[in-house]
Amino acid sequence: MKDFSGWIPMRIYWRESRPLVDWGYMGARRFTEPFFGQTSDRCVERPADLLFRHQTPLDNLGEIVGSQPSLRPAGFIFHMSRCGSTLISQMLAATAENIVLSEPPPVDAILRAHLRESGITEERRVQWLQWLVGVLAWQRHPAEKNLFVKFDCWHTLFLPLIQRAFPGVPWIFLYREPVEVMASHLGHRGAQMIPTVLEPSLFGWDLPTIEQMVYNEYGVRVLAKICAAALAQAGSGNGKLVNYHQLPESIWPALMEHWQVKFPEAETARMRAAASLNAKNPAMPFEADSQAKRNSVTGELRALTQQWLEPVYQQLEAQRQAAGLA
Amino acid sequence: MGTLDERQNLEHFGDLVLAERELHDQLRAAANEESFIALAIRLGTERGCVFPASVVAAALREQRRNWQERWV
Repeated sequence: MKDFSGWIPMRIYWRESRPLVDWGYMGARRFTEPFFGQTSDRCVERPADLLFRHQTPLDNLGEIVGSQPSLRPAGFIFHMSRCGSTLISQMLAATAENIVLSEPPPVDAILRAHLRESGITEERRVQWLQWLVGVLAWQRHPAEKNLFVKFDCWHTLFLPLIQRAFPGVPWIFLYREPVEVMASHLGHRGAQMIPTVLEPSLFGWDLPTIEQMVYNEYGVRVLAKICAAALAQAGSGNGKLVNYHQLPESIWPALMEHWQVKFPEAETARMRAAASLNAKNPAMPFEADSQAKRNSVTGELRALTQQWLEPVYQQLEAQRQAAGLA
Repeated sequence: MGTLDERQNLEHFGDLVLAERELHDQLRAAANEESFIALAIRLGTERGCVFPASVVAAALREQRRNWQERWV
């Protein structure tokens, strides 16, 4: 078998209904960028890395994954978007003890593969996901002990499948005051907020249904579906609800306990220092912006948010408080 | 750009690069396109894979475009 050490599956693409893996040379680098896609971009910066890349069938990952030892996932992060999930993932990535995969596109390709090719079963996606995460979890440095995955927000809808693939892995769902989330999307709308970027069937809708929604209604209802999916699984025993306003100091010890991970003091200090930076642009300091965000949502968008998102937000809050504040 | 043979020679060279860690490391050391192309031509020729600079440059352009358009 070829030697894949130093390589990562960067992308899954399709050729005549067959999924293939596009590999990138990672070498000794770590996943420190805010998003997996940014790390992938770095993997094709050098001419040799751009031109010479392994391409393998996705099904071959089953043989490849066992060629090196993998870390077992320590924790998963789900979220409703724009609610502090990147802050958490960047804090975790600040220590070399953690591998942090932040919204990896190949994970998304597997989770949604059945929407592209209807014959793909859940069993197959579970298997692919185990292999893919297993390869991404290869221990590349002796210090690495824990794997964390931050999923795309819509992957919350796949919580049952993900729990099937990785039983017992503790997860959190992060959420935030709905008008603040919607205000953030006003500035730069997430892909999930734009009709038809994701398959309508993912949310239980068909095309005529979403065509009847006004533009802002679509996004608000997508986020409501995501929150409802988390709420439905919150009592499963491995899940923990976390509100943005608890971040980061008040919740940090409880999160570490939930994920059953411990770090030396120096590593904890590193992670706490990362919390003071703007997670999506670590060159900038973090600034609290809740009040400004609340003020920027008015009129129709505020009414839609109250109608569709506020009820499920209140349910999440009730469930979180019933489980204990931390 | 280039003849079919030349493009196939570059492809074959790529297979060798992915199979030989040392060759891969040598090529990775070239940080810019100009030095990379010169090095690829030399190392390829040493292994019987002959291709001109234009074939390598065209392959790099194509890969860069494919990467940039990967979500389209």
